[in-house]
Amino acid sequence: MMQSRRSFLKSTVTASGTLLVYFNLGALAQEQDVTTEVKANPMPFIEMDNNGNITFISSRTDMGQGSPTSLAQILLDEMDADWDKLVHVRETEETERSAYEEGLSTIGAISTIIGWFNHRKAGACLRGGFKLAAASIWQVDEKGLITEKSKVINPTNGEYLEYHQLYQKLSDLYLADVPEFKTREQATLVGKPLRQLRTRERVTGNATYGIDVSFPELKIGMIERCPTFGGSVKSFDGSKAREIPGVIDIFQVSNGVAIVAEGFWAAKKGREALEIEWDHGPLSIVSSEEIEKQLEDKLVNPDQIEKNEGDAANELAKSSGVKLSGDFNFPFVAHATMEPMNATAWVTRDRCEIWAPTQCKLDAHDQVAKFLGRNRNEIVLHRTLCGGGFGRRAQEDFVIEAVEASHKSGYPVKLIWTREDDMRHDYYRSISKLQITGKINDEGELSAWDSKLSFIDTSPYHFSPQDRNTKDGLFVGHAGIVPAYKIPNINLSYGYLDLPITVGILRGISHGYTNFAIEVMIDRLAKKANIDTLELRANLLNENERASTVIDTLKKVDQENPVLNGMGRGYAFAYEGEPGSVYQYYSAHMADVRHLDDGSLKVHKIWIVADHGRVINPASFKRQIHSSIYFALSMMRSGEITMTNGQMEQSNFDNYPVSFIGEGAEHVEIKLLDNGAHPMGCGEKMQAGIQPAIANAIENLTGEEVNGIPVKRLA
Amino acid sequence: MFQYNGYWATALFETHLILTVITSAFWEALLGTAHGHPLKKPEGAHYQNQKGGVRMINLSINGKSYSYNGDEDMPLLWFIRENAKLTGTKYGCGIAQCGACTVHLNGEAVRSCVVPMVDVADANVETIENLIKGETLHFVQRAWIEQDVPQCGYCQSGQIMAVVKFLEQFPNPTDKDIDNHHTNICRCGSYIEMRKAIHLAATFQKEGGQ
Ligand code: FES
Ligand code: FES
Repeated sequence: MMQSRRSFLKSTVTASGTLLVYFNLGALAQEQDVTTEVKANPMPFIEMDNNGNITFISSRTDMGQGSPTSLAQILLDEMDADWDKLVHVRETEETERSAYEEGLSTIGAISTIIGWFNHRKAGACLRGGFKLAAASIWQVDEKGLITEKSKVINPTNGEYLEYHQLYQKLSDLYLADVPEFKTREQATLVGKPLRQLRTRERVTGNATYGIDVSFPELKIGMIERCPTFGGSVKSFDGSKAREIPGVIDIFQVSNGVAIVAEGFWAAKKGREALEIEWDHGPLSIVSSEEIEKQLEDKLVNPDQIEKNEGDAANELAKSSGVKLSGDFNFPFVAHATMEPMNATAWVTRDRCEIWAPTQCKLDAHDQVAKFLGRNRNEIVLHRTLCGGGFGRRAQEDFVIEAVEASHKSGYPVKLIWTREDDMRHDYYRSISKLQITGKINDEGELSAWDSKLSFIDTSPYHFSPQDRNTKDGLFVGHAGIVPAYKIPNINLSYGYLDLPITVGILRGISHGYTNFAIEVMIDRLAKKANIDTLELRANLLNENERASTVIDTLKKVDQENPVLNGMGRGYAFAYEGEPGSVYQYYSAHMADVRHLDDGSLKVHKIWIVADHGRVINPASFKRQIHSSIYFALSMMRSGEITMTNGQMEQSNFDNYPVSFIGEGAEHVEIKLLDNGAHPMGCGEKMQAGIQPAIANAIENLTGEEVNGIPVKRLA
Repeated sequence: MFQYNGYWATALFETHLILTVITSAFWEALLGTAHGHPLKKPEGAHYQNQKGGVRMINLSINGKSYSYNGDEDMPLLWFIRENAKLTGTKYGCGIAQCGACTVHLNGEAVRSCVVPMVDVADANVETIENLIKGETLHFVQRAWIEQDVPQCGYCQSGQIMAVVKFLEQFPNPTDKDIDNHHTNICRCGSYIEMRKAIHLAATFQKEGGQ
């Protein structure tokens, strides 16, 4: 259908009569920006067979967050396709970076944001195309035609043609690159609480995750990694391990000693029998306490000034108003995705095939090519379903390990991490410290804010290889330290430690700790100044309409739900982005906490008001909020990884417990403002607001300060 | 209930902690707990000493017969996943903490990652793949679909297998029953939808659904 190089879509009809439609973004990008190295490599996103049955090709990783369903909703709605004809969803097999924005990465809630551009536009182009095709058959003006459930209908005579009767015609047409979009009122699928696409597979045991990859020649690999971060193998003796039945090969790899065996159990037994002498490296004398001391020092001697406006020091020195300081501590936090890290690789002389549960398919592909010193096109990487991601699978380390094990052994290897490996060699959310001093002046304004932050340098481990060891790579460690609030005198600084401990992103980036500290300080300041804490936030945000709307809405919720006896209530606000950008969300959180008989603290109820723009699938959105509450509570209660002599102490769910079913909030109420702004995903974004709301509730209930996590009394 | 690391554990959690310490006391530890599913030591478990002392272990999985003569300590989980090639049963922790590996062993829900092969001679194992009868989903699966429970889905085979047995024990479960006795971990936190699905499945069960 697309003769022009600049066409947004491209399609082919196969011999069997199946229509395959591609995004042609590479072509577009190339014309717009000749300096980028993008190739005009189209990416298929939908397949329609000659009965009209649809296969949706997912550009984004499916790890439970629901993006594929939302993207299919956007596309099928805009093209007026029949949702019941959507019979299959599969992962994209795309290999070229140029094919799609963001390199097919599934991070930062970008799926919906970008999908709203691309899938929506593709849907509208296709709908227009089918209309044109029908119009040319009927010899009528296409403007008079309507579309509905995979049909083009001529309303004057009731005649219709199904989309699958129009494929051949479609190929001859030139489609508009600036299509006509449906209005919100015309939406049939967007905004509907449709079921997730893979639910049936997932309840019947038929969903295939990375760890389920299997074929006859496949061996199982495991790596014994140095328990001390930054350590390495001095020497090893594998003779005892070789005696274990089923053990095939033992050899040194970049991250330790690898073992290849017939099965998981043989690999594990073999690994236990390895005798390795480690060079534990410089961290062998370093523990969490020592790191905390160094972080403390970085508060005083920061590396960067993030923002310095007005004169915070001077304003804070004045004796007027109400001034408060707070110190906050956050430990290392582990992801503990339900499916431990794993990947399967088969490297031969001229080929490398990989199956990996990855969030960043093309980055992983690039890094494998680099590692092997081969061309990208000699490497095939299949993305599998992921048993959870939370940012951990944005790293490519586990993929490279599988490739190395296969390359060195010559076998196809499924490299499995035990839960212990996974927890002790994670890309943790960094341990961090914050010190904030704020002031409310006699006029009730937040007149000064001084914030210092320290963390472990995230840039060497940034999930995106091009950001490694750059200033951008540091962002995931200090994002969110700039409050949305109006503050005339503000000084923000941060410092970072250069340590060989892998740190990264975890269901969001640093907002989990930066926003925690900000929101707890705001509540404390308001209380001390005798100002209603929501009122204060509303005043400080009154120049940002979307932000103040969520606060105003929460105020109403607050008034409608008086605090019950024995409860403490807390609030928090969370946001990202700036007015004008598509990347924006605002949420306001309210939590009630009570004492249980045994003295522990129970979250009785959480209310969340969220403005993430237009909501694609409200059921999916709410499911992510429910999920986020359990996740936030797990972390707040027991999400603490500690280091002793360079080694992580926690290793499994017995010493790093995560929430059981009874360990959430007793009640949850959600208000989605769904205001029509550009849609934004939700998967990771709730983490920034839930914990500080609970912390503030605990402070109000107990009168005790909550200066970070963990809060071990949480039930 | 007892406190571990400042963390309130449920009865089963406690059981499993003990388990990881005293593996030999595995079945005893499970016996008599609220949610524990004791394995009757298989009647007539005839371990035949083969040449070289290797025993042939015969067992049935989803009605199909299998034999095994490898390491007796190998957990059943790996036999199911790698030998029988039934990958619906998942590995999550290997120490009976998460329940991702839950299967039915002689009609009881067990965490197959800590059941050694030596204990499954002549046993009858059922996995998630066997819950569907022909095209008819089990009523717990139907409830799961109705409530659209799964997120990543990785834990869900284990959740469903555990709930099938839980509902036999608690046909009219209260929320408290669920909190105290359904101890499978879902890291995605699909629990709110899951709780609704458990209640819905209970009503399906009463209606006599498959
Ligand atoms: S894998 Fe068996 S309980 Fe976790
Ligand atoms: S659905 Fe992901 S762990 Fe339960």
